[in-house]
Amino acid sequence: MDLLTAGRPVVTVVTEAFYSLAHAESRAWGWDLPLARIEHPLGGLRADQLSSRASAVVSFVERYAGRVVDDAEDKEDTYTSEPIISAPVDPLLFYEFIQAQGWGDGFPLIHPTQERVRNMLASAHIAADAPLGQIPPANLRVTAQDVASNAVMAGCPDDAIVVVIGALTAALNERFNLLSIQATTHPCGVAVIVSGPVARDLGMNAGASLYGHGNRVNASIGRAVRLALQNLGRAWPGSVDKSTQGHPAKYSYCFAENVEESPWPAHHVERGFAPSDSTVTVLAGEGPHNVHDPASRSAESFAQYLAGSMTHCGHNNLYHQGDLFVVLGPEHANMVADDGWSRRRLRDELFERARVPAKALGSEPLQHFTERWPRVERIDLERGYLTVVDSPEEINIAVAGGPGKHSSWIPTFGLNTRSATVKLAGKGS
Amino acid sequence: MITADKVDVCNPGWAAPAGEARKKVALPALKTGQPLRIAFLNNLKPNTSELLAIVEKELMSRYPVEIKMFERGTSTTPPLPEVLEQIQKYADLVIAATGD
Repeated sequence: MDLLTAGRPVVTVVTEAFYSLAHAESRAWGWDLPLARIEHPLGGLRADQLSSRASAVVSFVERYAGRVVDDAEDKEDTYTSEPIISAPVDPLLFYEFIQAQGWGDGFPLIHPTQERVRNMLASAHIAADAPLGQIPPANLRVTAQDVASNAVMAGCPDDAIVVVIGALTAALNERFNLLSIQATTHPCGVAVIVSGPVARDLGMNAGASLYGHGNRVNASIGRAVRLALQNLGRAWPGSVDKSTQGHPAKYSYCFAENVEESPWPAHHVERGFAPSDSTVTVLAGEGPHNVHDPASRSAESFAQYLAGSMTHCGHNNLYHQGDLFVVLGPEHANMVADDGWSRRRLRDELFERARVPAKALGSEPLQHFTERWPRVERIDLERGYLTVVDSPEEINIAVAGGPGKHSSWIPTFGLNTRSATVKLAGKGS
Repeated sequence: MITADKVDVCNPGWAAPAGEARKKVALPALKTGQPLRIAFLNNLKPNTSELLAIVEKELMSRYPVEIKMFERGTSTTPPLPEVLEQIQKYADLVIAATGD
């Protein structure tokens, strides 16, 4: 917004499908930006289909030339009413009420009564008015109580609020780029990885089916984070959250590391934290891509197979790079370690081996990569491949899961977002 | 407060507003004594360059304008500071494209 502050008027061209998002972002920045709306889509059209859209841009500039632009719709935030509201007691009617307000995720919810919210915060010794920050695009001034309201509604155990607040704090790290994550057409969910003693203390699932159903703590932490991002950031699906297809992980995406069965220290130790620290890492993750390898008996063989799974087209790291996560099942991790490989050795081997053949992209995507994205520097057309990420350091490795020869890797939103980790206050040394 | 059929709950969508009034933008007149300098800020999304080429042609055919193209880099990162500085020095009006 430097240009506007410097007095340079900016007209932003948006297609109709993205107008509500652009309007929300504009408001978040404190401006009623001039938005020149054109018919959707723009990408993929033939040259002869562009003229009417170009004329719409010119007409907008002509209409407002020499005067203030004042055509934004939905100027007021109709969702900001009162901090305490009256809601139906009946669970089914409450469920319907919340959905009607746009505050739900489609599943039944718990009444966030003042007493429940108060008890949750008290259990973690968190002041109700403790500031969290501003969740984009709404950029309201969010407090611990505002988060706890959503955590109660999500069904969180009281003592899990510290993880929910930790995850949201990590998500507000500038390197995470939450505004784009809230709005993107990409299907990333905010995945929450819990490391350190707090995971065990809370009864989180780090073992079998850890991504999936069954554990209240995993499920409700991930759900609380999603509800807070939606309700306090105003990232409503369809209008602001423009994910083209969405993803089941956008309901809830939270798991713990299986440190007990890992041959290596927990992932957060790689980031400079002590093993006794409890941390939360957030990443803008696609769903986990499973890697079933019952055949490999060596680190060498497994690394090749795992790298092969990372080289398909379509994931965002190929398009935009950024960091990604590999989550090894304990049996795979121990097989790798038994061959004397460190986590770093595996990371380096994956970087070297995970190369996408340029010919796999098809001519037009390859041309697009080559001409328009900074990633072009990593395309080695002479040798005919693309790397999946910029450097080995962009590959994070954690260990989680139960018995079986399955691992997974989690592509992320890409280039302009990096995972972020925070230490939980009062947890660990 | 709880009645037979109602209970007070914390509003899960409520947080304190930042409290700043939103600012509005005025566009410059298209016909002035000097040619209006317009910067196109291109995020390189598919067909954006092609769209802006037509916009440029239409504007130049009707008004005394000068137009210069600047590239944003990628669609989801802010423009580089040096690009913003160049635009700030050059432009009377910026047209940024495209949100698609």
